[in-house]
Amino acid sequence: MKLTLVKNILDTRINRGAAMLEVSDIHVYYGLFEAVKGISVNIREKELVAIMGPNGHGKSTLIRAISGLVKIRGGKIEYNGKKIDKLKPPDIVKMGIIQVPEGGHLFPEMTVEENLLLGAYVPGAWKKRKENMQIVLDLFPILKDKMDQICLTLSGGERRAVAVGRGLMSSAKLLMLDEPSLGLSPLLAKELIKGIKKIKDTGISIILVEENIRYIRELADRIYLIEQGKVTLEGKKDQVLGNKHVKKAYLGII
Amino acid sequence: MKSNKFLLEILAIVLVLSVIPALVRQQYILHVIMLAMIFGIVASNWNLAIGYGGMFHLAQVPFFAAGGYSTAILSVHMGLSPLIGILVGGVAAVILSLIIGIPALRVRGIYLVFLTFAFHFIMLSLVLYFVDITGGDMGLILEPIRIGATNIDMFNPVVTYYTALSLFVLSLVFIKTIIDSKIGLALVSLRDSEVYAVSRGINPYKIKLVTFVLSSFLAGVCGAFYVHYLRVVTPALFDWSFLITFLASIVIGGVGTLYGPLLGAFILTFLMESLRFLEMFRNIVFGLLMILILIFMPKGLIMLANRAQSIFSSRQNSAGIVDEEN
Amino acid sequence: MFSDIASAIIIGLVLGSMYALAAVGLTLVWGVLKILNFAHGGFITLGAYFVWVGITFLGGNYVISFLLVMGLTFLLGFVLNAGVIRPLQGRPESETNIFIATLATSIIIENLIIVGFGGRYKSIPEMASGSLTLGSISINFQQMIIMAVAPVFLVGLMYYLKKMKSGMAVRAVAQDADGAAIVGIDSERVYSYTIAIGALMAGVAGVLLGVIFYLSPGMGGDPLVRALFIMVLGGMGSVKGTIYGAYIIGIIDALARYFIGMFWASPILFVMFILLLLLRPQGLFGVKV
Repeated sequence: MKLTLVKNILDTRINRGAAMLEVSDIHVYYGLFEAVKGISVNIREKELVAIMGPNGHGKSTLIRAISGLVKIRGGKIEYNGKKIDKLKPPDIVKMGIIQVPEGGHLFPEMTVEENLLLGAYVPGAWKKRKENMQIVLDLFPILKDKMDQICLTLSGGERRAVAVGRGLMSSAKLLMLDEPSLGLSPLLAKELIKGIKKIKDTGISIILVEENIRYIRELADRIYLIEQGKVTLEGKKDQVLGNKHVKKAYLGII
Repeated sequence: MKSNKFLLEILAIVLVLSVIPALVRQQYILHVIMLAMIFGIVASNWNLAIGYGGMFHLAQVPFFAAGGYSTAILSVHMGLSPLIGILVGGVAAVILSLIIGIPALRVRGIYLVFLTFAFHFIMLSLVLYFVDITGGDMGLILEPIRIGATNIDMFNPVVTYYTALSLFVLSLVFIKTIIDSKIGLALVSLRDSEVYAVSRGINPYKIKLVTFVLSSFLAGVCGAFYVHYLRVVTPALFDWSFLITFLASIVIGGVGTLYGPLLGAFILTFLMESLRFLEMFRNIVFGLLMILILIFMPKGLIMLANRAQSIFSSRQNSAGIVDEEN
Repeated sequence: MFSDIASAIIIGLVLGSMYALAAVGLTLVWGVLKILNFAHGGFITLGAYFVWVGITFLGGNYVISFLLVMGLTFLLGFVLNAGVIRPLQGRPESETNIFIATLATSIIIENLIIVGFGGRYKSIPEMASGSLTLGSISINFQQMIIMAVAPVFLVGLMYYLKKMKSGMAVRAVAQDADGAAIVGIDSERVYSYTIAIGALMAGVAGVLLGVIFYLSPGMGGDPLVRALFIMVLGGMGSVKGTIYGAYIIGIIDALARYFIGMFWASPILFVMFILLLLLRPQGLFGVKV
């Protein structure tokens, strides 16, 4: 008992030492409703952390809080040892923390090229926009012929690719993908998963909010399960997917 | 129970406002209180549409002006008596509200603002064009009217003051009756959830039109009264300063509240009058103060009072708990 | 008859040029901030008076006076945002509050001009005298200058929005504010220079109006209402549609002045505005409702 405690402490110490992003016990409210009730999450360099759990239980809110789009009440968020929870969204983007939100939030009446270019809006990324554009086009070759097309007229899969590509244009160090496969046909989703794998291989850390267990199994290093605004389970991929509760509630295995 | 409370409130208001002339001898102050009452009536009727009905429109100043011009024209050209003239002002506003409302209430939001804005300018153009009837830029001057064969001016300060007070009370009862009626309930339910209201068989267009028309009547009456009181009507009746005074009375007092616009009108009228010494700079300072009030008192004074009341009455409401964590 | 129509159309293009400048700033601010800036008319007036001051007191140099107008209205745009609009944004009832506050601002501007320059009509000395005659049609040089200056600013604005990074950021905020925040665009900053650009455009419109018409403290009111009409006609928030709309309204305005009578132009336009709002509120070119 004592030993495991020491081990746990050591574990967290080690984790903490290597973590690039450390979210500690944050709370987020929408009016009177507490959407996030003390969540702690961390991610290390080059890691892909999946976040799973039912809809409306605080996953997207966590991502929005890291991006600075919603303010936290209590707790803190640190990035490479620096507190970032009081910063404005543009300053957080400048540090390389990039969100690809659910639904993409593309600029509907701009071309694909303009959307991608705006992904490189922050000064550091703007200088590297040509190289990054090349990387994005290598990753998603379907976009090559669509550069002058208005985003409103793209298909769902193409839009998702533009959204992820726009995130990459900013020289992201930490990419947060919110349900990227939602609404895609299995074929397109497969393409996207391939793309995400490639992104991971370039050394970018990724937080992936995902419902589809198959993709999580394929991609994740570690998993957090968020239910009712709290982390109810966390650990290595196999640990979490092997858990009895997860099997029952999310994998449909009885 | 509730109507008893309203009755008491009305009695208190009547009592206070009717003893003022006995206590305050300066005619000037009576004049300002009277203006405040008139502007308060126009504002609170407008609030019926804006606050309770959620229809943001700019037709209230045209209603006010229609009342003023119709009564002045009939009085100057046909010698109509002011007592009937004031009623005619209300009727003119109602007719105008039908002309504007029947087409305009089919659109909503910003388009309703534009539509009523355009009507404002059309009316102003017509007033300026038909010089023979309206006096154009110079306006019309109304003769003083004697009561019967006596030499007493019908619009002497005491009579006007109590006429304004009667209109004020009439307006309060009028608005309260509408709010508590089926129309008022339908109106508020439309504002809060149109889908729900429609599903309960409420016809939004009809309810909105009825409210729009009802809220124009007393604006027209006040316009007519105002013109008779000043004994002159000019295109200044269309000035932005009226629009701002009425609208700001609603916002500063409290949107969608019974007494808010009245309180707002009193504050603004007294503020405006107390700045008279600034002469040329008065409008500038008034404009600046208006902006500052909007910035620093966004929710209106009535809300402020309500909040203070609720903090005293129950200190442990849920909102309080969250506020403490903040 | 033909030469009458041709002359009217030329006047229409002149009016359209001014209306386009007046309306484009209003549209831009609507598109980005979703607010109606009623101080816009005040900025038109300011533009005209600033150029009058420049020419009267600074030795009559049109170019310097013009630059002065651009600089001052641009700066005052920032002041308008910081002092009036930003403090009221994002609150309940903010639409009503901003409406009142910007209207109050235009009253402040009007009265400052009355205090500073008096209420009497003023006129700006002619920029260039003489005219060009083609058969029975004649265009004076002032009108030609106006027809040339307006497109320079309009094209410049379009270029800025389409090609320059900060212009793209303006469009980005207009199309998806959350999306803009995600890529690192500071929307507060975009708001403030959008309003400043709108103010500058209003100032330039005021200069051109001042060249043709008399100056008075309330001179911005009429172009403001026309600008509202144009904005709806072109599809709210669409810069391109607004520019087309402005020239259409300019020509209708001129034809009405010419053939029906000076006085009736405004009421006719207002009635058309009402019909537009009732029948096609999304505008001529708008796809969105």
